[in-house]
Amino acid sequence: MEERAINLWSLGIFHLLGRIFINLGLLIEGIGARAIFLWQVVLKLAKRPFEVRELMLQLYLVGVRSLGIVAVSGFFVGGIIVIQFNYALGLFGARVYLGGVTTSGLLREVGPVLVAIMIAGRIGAFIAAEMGTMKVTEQIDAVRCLGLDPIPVLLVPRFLAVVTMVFLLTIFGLIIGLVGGAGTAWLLLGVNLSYYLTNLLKLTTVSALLLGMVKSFIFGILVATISCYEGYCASAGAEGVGRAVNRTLVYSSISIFLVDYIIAAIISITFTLAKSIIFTIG
Amino acid sequence: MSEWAHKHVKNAFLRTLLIALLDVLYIARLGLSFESIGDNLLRFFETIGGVVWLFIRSLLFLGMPPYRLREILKQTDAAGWRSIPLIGAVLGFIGLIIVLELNFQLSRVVGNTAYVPGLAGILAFREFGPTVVACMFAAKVGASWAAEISNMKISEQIDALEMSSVNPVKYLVTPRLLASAAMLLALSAIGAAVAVLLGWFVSRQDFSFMAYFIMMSKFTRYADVGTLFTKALVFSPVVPVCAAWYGLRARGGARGVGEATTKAVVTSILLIIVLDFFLNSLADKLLKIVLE
Repeated sequence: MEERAINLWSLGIFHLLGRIFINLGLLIEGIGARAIFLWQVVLKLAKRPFEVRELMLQLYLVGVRSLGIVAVSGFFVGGIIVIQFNYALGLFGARVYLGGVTTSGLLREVGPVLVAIMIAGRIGAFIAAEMGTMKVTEQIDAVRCLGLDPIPVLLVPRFLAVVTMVFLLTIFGLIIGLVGGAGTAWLLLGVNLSYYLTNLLKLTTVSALLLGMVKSFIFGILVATISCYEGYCASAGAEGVGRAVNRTLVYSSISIFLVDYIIAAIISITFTLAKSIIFTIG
Repeated sequence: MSEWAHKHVKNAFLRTLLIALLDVLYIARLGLSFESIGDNLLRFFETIGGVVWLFIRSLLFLGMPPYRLREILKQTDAAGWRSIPLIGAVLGFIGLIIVLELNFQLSRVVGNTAYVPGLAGILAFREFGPTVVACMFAAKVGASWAAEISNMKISEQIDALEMSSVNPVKYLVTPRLLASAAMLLALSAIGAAVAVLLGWFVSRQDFSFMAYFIMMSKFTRYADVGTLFTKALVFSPVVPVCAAWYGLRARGGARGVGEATTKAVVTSILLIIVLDFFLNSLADKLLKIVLE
């Protein structure tokens, strides 16, 4: 009895270690599979046949249909940020910088992440469900039987539509968010608009806007790749479709925040490096 | 029009361009017709009313036996325990991002980074803790609940429940409501703690571990922790009620399941953001009145 217990215990440790290593391997394999998938799609971007009609339809479905949710969420998130920073900056009497800090934060961090999460929830999940259903009901195999490659016919229009529309919707959402923030500060918090705008131009630079745009482009590629991959490689059955949708949501939200952190870390390292160089020279 | 373009325009490039333009015009007309605007407005009010009514009904069933403790515990495990990795990962990155961003902003505004822990604590406890946790909860748990309920609806298991005189709202929604309330409170606390703890790793060159928390305690008060739990409690019914609302209305096979899932996720995230805005503005007004 005692021997058996010891054996089980030692086995347990090795079992755990093995599971950890297997999961690490699966993680690397999954990232590699998605990267190869992305490369395949990119290779076929510029190849005939161009599905212009399908692309137009997807642009409409992704872009125009999401205007409402992006507008509503952008407006209210702009307001939320202003309310919180109004309280936080008021604690040490730096309310003069309210407009500048919130605008810069919205452009650099909050806007791109918010729009990417909303698009992942609405469009990414929809694409995963649609492609998964097509895969499960063997419609993708039917396309292949017709002598067509399913990647340029089905995936390239969706990929392009998501990447373009995340970029454009981020611009739209940022405008709405800035208006929402200024409106909240003016109407709800009673901050004078000229007071709000005092330090805005000093703190908000073109580089903040550019950084936001680069981020939204990268997030668009992430959301498009993950949703198309999960739909295209869904396993059989109705459960496979559900799992594809769930995985799309979880993986895209984790990867959006991960990439956002990586970009922020790179920017901060370069910022401190530049500062130290300037200080040592000057 | 597009047939005319197909027949009479000889140049291939011009033809493609013209057809694309015509498609754009056609699609724009579809989106802007009065009928679609009216449709959307009707659907909006129907959703708001339906969700509120479903919430009230599921609350009314709270006090009625049988309580189905086993089902509540099962949902708690599925909703809470299994989403700890997601919540930990996302809130950990958010904590790192908050401190990096505040380092950048405050070093420009104030000129030093002494206030960074305080502001990071305020943002993590008052804002990102509850709201982002609730959004991630909607994305993971709300999606799986909506898929489960709409699958039951489509395979006529809901009708079978009604046939055996079991109320589907009491049977499905009330246990999930309780599980969501308990788990969102716990997950918000875990998420905020992870965010605050990981934030220290970024600013470890400026502060020692103790100094970080001492600086944080100068700005972050118990009221902020209270805000965290209040917000988590207010957001908790949003996810199960939205999932049930879209799940119980699903129709049309596997496509209906996918549609119900995406709609449930998006509606719950939007509702959480809007509720958060109104809670914040209400708290701000209350604070002003108390101060005066």
